[in-house]
Amino acid sequence: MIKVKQGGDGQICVVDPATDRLTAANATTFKDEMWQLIDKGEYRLVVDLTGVSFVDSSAIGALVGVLKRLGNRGEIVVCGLSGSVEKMFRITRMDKVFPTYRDSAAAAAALSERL
Amino acid sequence: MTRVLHMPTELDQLDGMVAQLTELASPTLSEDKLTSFEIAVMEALTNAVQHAISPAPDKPVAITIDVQPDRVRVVIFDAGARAPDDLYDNVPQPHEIDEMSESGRGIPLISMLADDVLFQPGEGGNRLQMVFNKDPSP
Repeated sequence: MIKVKQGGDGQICVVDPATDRLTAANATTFKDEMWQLIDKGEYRLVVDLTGVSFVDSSAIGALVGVLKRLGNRGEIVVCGLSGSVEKMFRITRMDKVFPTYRDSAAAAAALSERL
Repeated sequence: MTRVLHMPTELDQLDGMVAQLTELASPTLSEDKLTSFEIAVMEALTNAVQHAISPAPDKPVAITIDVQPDRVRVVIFDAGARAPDDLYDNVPQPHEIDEMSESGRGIPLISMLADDVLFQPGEGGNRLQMVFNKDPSP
């Protein structure tokens, strides 16, 4: 389901979940595909939620699962939060767990600075 | 206005049902309150499907939505095994859940976002009632 493009001179992986709603219906698929990216050696990840209008607790759990899989090998950040998605990140405090940026360019720039 | 709806116990049915319920609630609830409604109903329906899917895969989840000028009431009944009586007692806030936990946020979100929650587990299934009040006029 996810769409992937490279940023930051190929050292950063920008992931578009390619769905309007990231929920219990597709969160496991999303997590599995993110794990595959990590297992292939992608350790600097931007999850771009610009096109996602709704996330539930299953999606939050999937993102935490990706973070745990990554461990201390790299970094995962999110961008493009708005409306309901921003509210969900705020009330679950995930905005304190995942560094959050306005858009994928800002996220990639921040990750590049930390390379 | 009261509507009774039924949903198969399949996760891929959730988004369509939540969209339908959110549309029905929209005349009463503000935009922010409608976001709370959508999150809480999604969590509750997900729980209902997951609880019912094993013991009663052929029995649909029954949803009653009652939309009034001052509040929206949703009742979800699943035919799953009897849940613990204290499932909704002393529920932590969503931010109090271990941040590295991959589950366990659904009931805290429902408890936080609905104005009133009544959970009645039984031998034939589990009934969850949530009430969302219209925000007072500024």
